Amino acid sequence: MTANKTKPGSAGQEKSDSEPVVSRRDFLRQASSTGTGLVVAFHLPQGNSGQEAFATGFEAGEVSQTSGKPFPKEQRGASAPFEPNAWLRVFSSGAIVFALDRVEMGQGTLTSHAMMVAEELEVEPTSLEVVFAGGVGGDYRNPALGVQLTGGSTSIPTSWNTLRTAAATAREMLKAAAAKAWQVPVAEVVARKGTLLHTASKREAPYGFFADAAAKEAAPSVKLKSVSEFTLLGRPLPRLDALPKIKGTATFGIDVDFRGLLHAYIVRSPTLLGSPKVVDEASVRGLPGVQGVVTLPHGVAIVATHWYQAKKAGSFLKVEWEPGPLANVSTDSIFASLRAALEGEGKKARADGDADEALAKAAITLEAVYETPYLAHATMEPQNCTAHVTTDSCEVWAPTQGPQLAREVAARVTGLAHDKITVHQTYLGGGFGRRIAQDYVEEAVRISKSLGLPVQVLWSREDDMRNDYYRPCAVTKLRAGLDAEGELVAWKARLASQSIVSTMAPDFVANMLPTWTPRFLKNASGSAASRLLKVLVDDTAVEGASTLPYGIPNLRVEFTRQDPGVPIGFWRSVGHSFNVFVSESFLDECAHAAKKNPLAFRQDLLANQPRLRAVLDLAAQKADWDKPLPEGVSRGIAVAESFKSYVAHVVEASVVDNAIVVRRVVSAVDCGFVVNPDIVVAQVEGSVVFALSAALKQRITIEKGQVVQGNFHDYECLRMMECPRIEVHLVPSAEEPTGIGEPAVPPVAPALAGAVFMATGKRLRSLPLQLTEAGLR
Amino acid sequence: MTTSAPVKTAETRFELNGASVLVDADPETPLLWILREHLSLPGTKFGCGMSLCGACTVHLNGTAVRSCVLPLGAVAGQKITTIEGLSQGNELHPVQAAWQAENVPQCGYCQPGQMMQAASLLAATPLPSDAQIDAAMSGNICRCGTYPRVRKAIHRAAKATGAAQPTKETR
Repeated sequence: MTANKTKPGSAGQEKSDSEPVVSRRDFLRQASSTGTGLVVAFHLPQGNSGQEAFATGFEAGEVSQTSGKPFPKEQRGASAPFEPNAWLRVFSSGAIVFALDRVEMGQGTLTSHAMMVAEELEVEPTSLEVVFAGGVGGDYRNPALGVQLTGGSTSIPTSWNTLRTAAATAREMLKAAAAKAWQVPVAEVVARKGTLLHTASKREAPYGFFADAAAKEAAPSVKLKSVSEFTLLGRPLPRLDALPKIKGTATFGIDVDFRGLLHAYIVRSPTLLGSPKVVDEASVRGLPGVQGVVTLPHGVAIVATHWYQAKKAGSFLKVEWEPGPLANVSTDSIFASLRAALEGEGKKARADGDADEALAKAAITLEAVYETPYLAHATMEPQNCTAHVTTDSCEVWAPTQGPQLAREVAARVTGLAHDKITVHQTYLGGGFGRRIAQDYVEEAVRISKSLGLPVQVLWSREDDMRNDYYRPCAVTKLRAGLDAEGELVAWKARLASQSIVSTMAPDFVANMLPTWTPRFLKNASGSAASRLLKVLVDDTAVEGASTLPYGIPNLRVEFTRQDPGVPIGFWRSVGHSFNVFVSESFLDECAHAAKKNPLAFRQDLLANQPRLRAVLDLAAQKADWDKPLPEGVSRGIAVAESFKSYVAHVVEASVVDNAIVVRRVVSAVDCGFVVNPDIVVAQVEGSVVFALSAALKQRITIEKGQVVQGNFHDYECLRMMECPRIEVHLVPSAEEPTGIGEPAVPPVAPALAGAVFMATGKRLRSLPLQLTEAGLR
Repeated sequence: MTTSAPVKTAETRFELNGASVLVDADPETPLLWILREHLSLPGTKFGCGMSLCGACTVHLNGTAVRSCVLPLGAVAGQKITTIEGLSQGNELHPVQAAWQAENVPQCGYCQPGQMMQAASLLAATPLPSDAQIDAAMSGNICRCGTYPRVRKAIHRAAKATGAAQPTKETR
């Protein structure tokens, strides 16, 4: 898109050959000063695509998300909106602003990332004003994902060196400026708690005092602190976003409000992917508050002064629907097609040794079929987006995991150049992968564009449940072989499912590919391109199956893509969420057949997996695995690596009148160096609850193209009275930190299923785990 | 069908966070939307619209109710308290202080409802048992799974409000 080119002469972020590169490792450089203070900009090693070279993240961050303090436009740099991206600004006034480029959806990025900055900048984390970076891409891109996107448990590992280097560089430039002014060697200047000190001459000044001077300094090479030098990282600091969330002042997407904002409710096709055929707009015109009706691809938006008016008017709308391609599709037909797909050979996902031959020679063989359902994300905050489109501008306020994708969608819908589009990030009322899709953004932008007025689209809970990008369902057929000594010598798994990336949201793939992918690929270095291609080719369907960590000499995993056309997407821990249940449960079956206990069986097979073995052992030890349980209580265990973190759970459960009651969950986690232990513990607690909801209760079913479930009465979530005691143990580690938003989810269901087997002798091979006839296969 | 739903608004007066307010709106409108859109108090959240999740919990004369199913007309002359009015001035309510001390919120979206429910529980039952907490709090869904911390925070708030007896924490 030619419209995306940086204007010549603008303070663009594209690195040109003529610009002096003064930093180390070719990705730090001193940016031009805007006169407002010190700006540190970054450049990723693969270079910039150029399309994102418009606004800084500060422009979209109007308010400090920590103090609630507003930033006037001139402070945000809106007077020079094309200046380079940056994470940090030190103002002469003393304010230090940090632009957070990973979204805060509960997982704690605001706090952990501010801690990384504060550690090297030598400031109190609470003194930082944190703003949400707008969706501008550029330096804010997630190097693991290619775009500015929060997901895949990547926020900590991908920001770990970048942010600390950013902060250290800023600190050194401030020190250099002070040293010059004081005419002392820079080595004698100390930065401490936002103040520069020269002890010998008893001089000190706050950072802000040297902000303008520091902007003229060259960016030096910096040496990052070692773990032993940390004063903040590794400590359980309180969340910086707790107070606004406790006072009710945190602004979520749904809370965006300003004078003249209209509210839209969308009457949607009752069938997935259906569309309005005949719309009688007159049926709602003139109803209280109604200001407009906009027909969309999959529904009809009613725009009113207030949302409830729009919602109420919606019940009067007369519309005839085109049912769409899924009108004859039901859960039964989908599972029948998945089972049928397993008849043939699948695409090889992994092959070690010769599984078929080993199975033929095995002393004992086992065979089982596992089935896992579609799941909705059910974020507490229903999908919503606010947009204001004029003839030459577009502003979007969105609780999205991919603000850069939101901007792409807005550009596509409006036809406006990227520099005319501003995406403001808000707090997210849960994400879990749902908000990687941008469907709500597209709707808001379309409606606002149609009316030329600012509009907030808000989905009802029913619409949210029935128009999700679901966790795909899957059927897996497994065979295993044990030799005469009970050693597991053969494993064969054949999986039929949809491919998430291939069928992911149209706005994510179909519309993104022609826009950003070619440009990114063109400019990307080999490794970055291969990472992106890996995502696009999609290993997400087989992860957890093809990555089986056990030492099994003959192992084959096959995947057959079977696509019923139901919209699917990324759901917390993605493919691991079902494949780990299947693999770990079947491994339990093997242990039982080998007459070994599930812990010992796993320990033997993990000889070459020290980190997995360590969390397994730790969970077992903390759960007193070797000691007897109270009458009526059983336990199960499971372990998995996902997103480069290692988690084991021991689950204790009882079965009372065929109802499964979870008593206690003991978790052991190795996610490398732990930035904030309290947040990691909270993520694991939350993952256990999230995974138990799915393991015990949740299933999306489809009847003739319509999603049956609609609200929390028929798509239930774990509630307080059902919440077990959860004990989390962290493995001390000096390894590079890895993510923890997802990795504690996958091993919950199989550990619970193992406990149910111990209690009842019944092996539950489908989710949710139910001891009724429907749950038993 | 022909739809000519009459434009029927009415003035409704009630007490909100200690101040008298007058709203001119359809009295059938759930209080939730009146608070959020007419009175600019967005702390009270929309989650389900069916009294299933508790995100919209406010106090009606001191008792927790779900504002997503409570019509505006029903609160005429009544006292409503929202999360914005839970604390007195700059001082946090003991429940809020406990929430902060236990680092409860993750995404935070359900937490105003959780805290309003907890405050209502503690007003009626100053030293709740785990079973009483279960009974009072199980109508409030948290998808982030903060339940263990919510429980701890309620016990902490109960202690902080000056109760002499020790609270039995069974889990």
